[in-house]
Amino acid sequence: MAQRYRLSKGGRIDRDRLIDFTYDGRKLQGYQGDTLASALIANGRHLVGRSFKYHRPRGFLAAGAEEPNALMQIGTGARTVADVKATQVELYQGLTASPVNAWPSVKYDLGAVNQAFSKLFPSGFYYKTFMWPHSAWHFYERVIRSAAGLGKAPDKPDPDFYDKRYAHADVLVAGAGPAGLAAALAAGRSGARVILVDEQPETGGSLLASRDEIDGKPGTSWAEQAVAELRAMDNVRILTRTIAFGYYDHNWIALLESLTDHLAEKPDDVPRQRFWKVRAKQVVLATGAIERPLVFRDNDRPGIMLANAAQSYVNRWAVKPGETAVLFANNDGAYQAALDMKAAGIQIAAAVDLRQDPSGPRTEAARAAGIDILAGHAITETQGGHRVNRIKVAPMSEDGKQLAGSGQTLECDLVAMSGGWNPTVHLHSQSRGKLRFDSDIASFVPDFAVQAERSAGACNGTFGLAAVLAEGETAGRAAAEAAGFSPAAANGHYKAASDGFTPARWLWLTPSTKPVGHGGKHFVDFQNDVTAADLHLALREGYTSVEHVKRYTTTGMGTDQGKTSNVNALGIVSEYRELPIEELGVTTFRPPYTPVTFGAWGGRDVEEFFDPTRKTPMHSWHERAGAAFEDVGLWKRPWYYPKAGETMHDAVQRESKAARESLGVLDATTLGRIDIQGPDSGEFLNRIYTNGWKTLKPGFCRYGLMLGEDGMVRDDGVTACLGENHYLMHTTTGGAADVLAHLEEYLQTEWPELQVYLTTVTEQYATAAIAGPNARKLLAELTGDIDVSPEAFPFMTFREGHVAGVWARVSRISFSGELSFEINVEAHNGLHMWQTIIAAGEKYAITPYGTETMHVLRAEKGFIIVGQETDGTVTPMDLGMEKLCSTKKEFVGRRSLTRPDMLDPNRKQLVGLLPDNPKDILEEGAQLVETVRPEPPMAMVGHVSSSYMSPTLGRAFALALIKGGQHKHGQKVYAPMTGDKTIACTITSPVFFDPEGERLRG
Amino acid sequence: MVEVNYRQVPLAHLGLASKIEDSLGDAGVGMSDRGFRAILNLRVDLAKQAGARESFEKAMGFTLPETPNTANGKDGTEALWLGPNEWQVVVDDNAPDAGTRWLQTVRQGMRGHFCAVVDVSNAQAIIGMTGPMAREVLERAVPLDMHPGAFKPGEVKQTVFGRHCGVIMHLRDESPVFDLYVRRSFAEYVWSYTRDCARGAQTDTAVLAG
Repeated sequence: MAQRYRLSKGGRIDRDRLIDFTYDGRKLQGYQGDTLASALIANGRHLVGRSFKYHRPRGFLAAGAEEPNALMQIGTGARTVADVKATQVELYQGLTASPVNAWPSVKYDLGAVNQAFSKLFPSGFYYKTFMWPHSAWHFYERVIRSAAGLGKAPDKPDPDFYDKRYAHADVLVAGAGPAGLAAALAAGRSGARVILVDEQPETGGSLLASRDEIDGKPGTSWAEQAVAELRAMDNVRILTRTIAFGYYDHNWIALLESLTDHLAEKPDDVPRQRFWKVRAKQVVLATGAIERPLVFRDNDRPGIMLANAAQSYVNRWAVKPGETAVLFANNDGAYQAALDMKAAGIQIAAAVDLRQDPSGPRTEAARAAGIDILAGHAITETQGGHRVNRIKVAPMSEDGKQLAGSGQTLECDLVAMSGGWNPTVHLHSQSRGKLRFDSDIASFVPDFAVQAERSAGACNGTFGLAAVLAEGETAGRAAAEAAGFSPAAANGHYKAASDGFTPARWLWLTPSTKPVGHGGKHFVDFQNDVTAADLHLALREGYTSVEHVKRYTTTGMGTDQGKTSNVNALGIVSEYRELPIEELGVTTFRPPYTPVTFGAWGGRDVEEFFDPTRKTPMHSWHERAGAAFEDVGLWKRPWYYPKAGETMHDAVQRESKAARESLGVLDATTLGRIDIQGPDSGEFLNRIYTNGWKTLKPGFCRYGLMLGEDGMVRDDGVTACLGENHYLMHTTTGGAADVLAHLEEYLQTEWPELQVYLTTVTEQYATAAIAGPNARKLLAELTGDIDVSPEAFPFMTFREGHVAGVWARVSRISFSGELSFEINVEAHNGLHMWQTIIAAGEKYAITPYGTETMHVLRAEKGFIIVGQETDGTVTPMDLGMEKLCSTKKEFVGRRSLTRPDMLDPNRKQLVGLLPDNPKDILEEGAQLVETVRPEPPMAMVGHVSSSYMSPTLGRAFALALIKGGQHKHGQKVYAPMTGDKTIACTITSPVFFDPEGERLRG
Repeated sequence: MVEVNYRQVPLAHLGLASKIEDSLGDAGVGMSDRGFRAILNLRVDLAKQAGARESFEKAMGFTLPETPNTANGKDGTEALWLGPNEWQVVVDDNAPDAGTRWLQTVRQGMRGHFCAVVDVSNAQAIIGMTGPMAREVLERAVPLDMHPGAFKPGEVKQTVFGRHCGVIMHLRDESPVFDLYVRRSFAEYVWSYTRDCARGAQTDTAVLAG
């Protein structure tokens, strides 16, 4: 029968909207407003999973985020989600769900055989068993992972998109239960910008599941009114289906808002989830509390749930979690659940109370309502395969350590248990706020805050609706005041019941007929199958710190992060060690409070936005020319320009040849540029670079080498003297930002007396480098006001004038070893200049070349690339550039160059390599040896830093760093490669082409 | 030599001119390519360089704003405060030699003071943003508080935009109209990123005239 356990009236569900869904292959129905959990219970489904380790049948323990058992695979195909708690899934038309940890089905689960061998699986089992032989772990791990598998990830790309945004608030209120609503009202009325968040689809929190009254009307009506008032305020933003899951430094709170997970049809134009990064001046935490299970023998059968969960299913969703219930409690508050269940027509077989002398207003009400109370009793055993059907209860000794007398058997299909309440202190604790143990409620409550936050209501250890509302109001006002607002005086107090859940009695471990570990299992952590006996074992084996107990037994781990188990575990450890809980401490609370999808973390910074791409002004031309691009820093640089049918090798050979024989052109826009001005600019450069700068005259350029304080090469480039006290420094493409920061650091912290200003002008110019024997002829055609003759325009100078009809600064420098001019124009004119060069160069068969050809050309000349020939451990001497290190002045890094290690003749030094077989192209990064052995280890003497095929040399060649290489020219080294191939090479000078530099100076 | 205007502003290749709408319509955000303006970076320590304030005022006809994160200007010329000794001077002048000319004007005016004036007209793209959802959309790209009470007309703020550091935002009026100065090579990133932010905010963008 459909929804056999649905109550005939009540609940916050829409009975006019019937919803079809599929669970474990069966078609079922529920109502709009149901969670998957409540709909399953309406259909009498309590067996919803198998436990992680022993594959024991499991049902719902809870009704909210703390649920450890009911983990579901939701949806199919690309949108399937694993390990979602059924208690947090809103029901929608067509939803499909299945339990994650059962095969072939939840009823006939083959893994349940593990139960029979459970004695073989104590805590620490994996560590003890599968570590031998060491190499087999990879095999074991695969089998274990599959056996313990929790759900499946989708195997298709995510079809959804995710929004990410920042937000600012004066007051952020986490939780829209009674305390949170009261806080938001108080803060909102003061004019403060308030963000109120709640994980539920509707606000109201605990009021949604209770029959409590506020100001003489149902609590839910009060909540509705409060929300209506908040919605009318411009300064208040209410976010439902939004969980505050992380509390980071400087009051930075992360929220996850769900937008489409609850919809049957997922709209294309709505993000699935929105990740909020909120910076709040003040935070009010009103996150409530989570009920604590009781730890008794076989307390994990389906049908054994938290009392508050049973109450919620009855009141909020109008479903009967059972026909005949037993309340098992240690406190007065839990009796309200029994009363509510009784009012809904559930028979209460008995209330088993751990207290010797049960008292309190709700206990009295239960007694008056005819509920049979078994004082000083415990449940000693439970029975039932897929659902609890019988329990045994017995009286306990006065100290609660053992049983005293024979018991009785009770028939029931529901056990509602309550071991008290744990304030939800996660966010407070994440914010580094301290906790203290409150013995009145036997749990941890916020002690003091470290950040601008305050807790209110149950999460602060305050129970009793009247007190919760008052504390919420006070916290909201205090937060608004601290954020600079003046809240008006409160107009009267909220009228509500004032009782908390005490009196209570704290017994961490309920006695049974057999000692712990010798019959049945006392579960502490349901999700990780951790029992009281496991905790005892860990303690016996010496894992006494709570952090060690946690890691050894895995209690408190998993997707529920111990929301129901942590305090019980501490209680049991405390009892065993005979130490007060407050001396044990607690394990660390870390974000996220509940699991967060990777999609939400990534937000929009994926695919094309994973990294910004920087494009030069000529980019569109390169694209049209069919260039392949290389990422250099964030820049897209043309790598090579393949013609139809050409491989990369073909293209690079053609481009290199063209530049050597006629004319090539390179987009050199991406080089970093720093404008340096001020009376001390020359002195500044003199200190920053290794070589001398004071003699550089306006109109001239100079190559400079920049070291770190450690003496290692950090950057290099050409700097032009634009005028008196005015320079333009060029840096490597990737080093631009770092070099500017390096220079600013020295200017601001080491030499503040220097009058120098630095301005980045990387983006101001577009640069085309024309290189080749015809470069001068082309330039002459493109300019009317620059004399390009060798006499008027020598090497390492620059001229300003016009090229292609626009202002240009032309530098006669060369990174290719060819006669070359770098033409710099204003960036907006870059495309025009480039197109003009290409058109005019046609008669010289001008060939655009990319970074790969640039590398070949410069390597033939032995020109280094910082980051390729250097790796932060290379000195100028290692590169054979000692002449660039002035001995007449101080410069950054100089002192380090005289350390003994720097003078070691056996340091790795830059050399050239010629493979014996001219067709063997060495792999960059290949290790080099002098003596080849059949297999490693072999003494490595260096590595290949750059390697290419040169059309000009007609052979392969390479640059390498080899120990003492500068004195080994002519000697052999070998590069042993994979697959038994060894490439023999001869060490040479690193300059392979035009060593005299006649071409570039000509 | 007569200079011809060959300029291709950074967003030119997107062909935005043909996509310009007359009004926002249903779109929550209007975006525009503001085209070219002469932009100078000025570094000078007004506290130490006696008379520098007056020199600038004499050259440009208005004073440099000294209140952090504000702008001051006159007749299509303005200075944006970027730091205690740094301003961005922006002139609405699209002539081919505008950058060089204004550079000379300010350099001449500041002669005698220790300062740096640098033409950065070509180093930036200027993107305009307006519309009822503009703040809401920008809150997805920049971590700053975009609330009208926190980012007021006339204010200038520098921040990170998505993953692009060093964006300058100038709120011209409360309608709101923002000018975003972004590094030239990041212009397309900022433009597309904003459109994606609009999608996240469940609104559309319209291209408006600069």
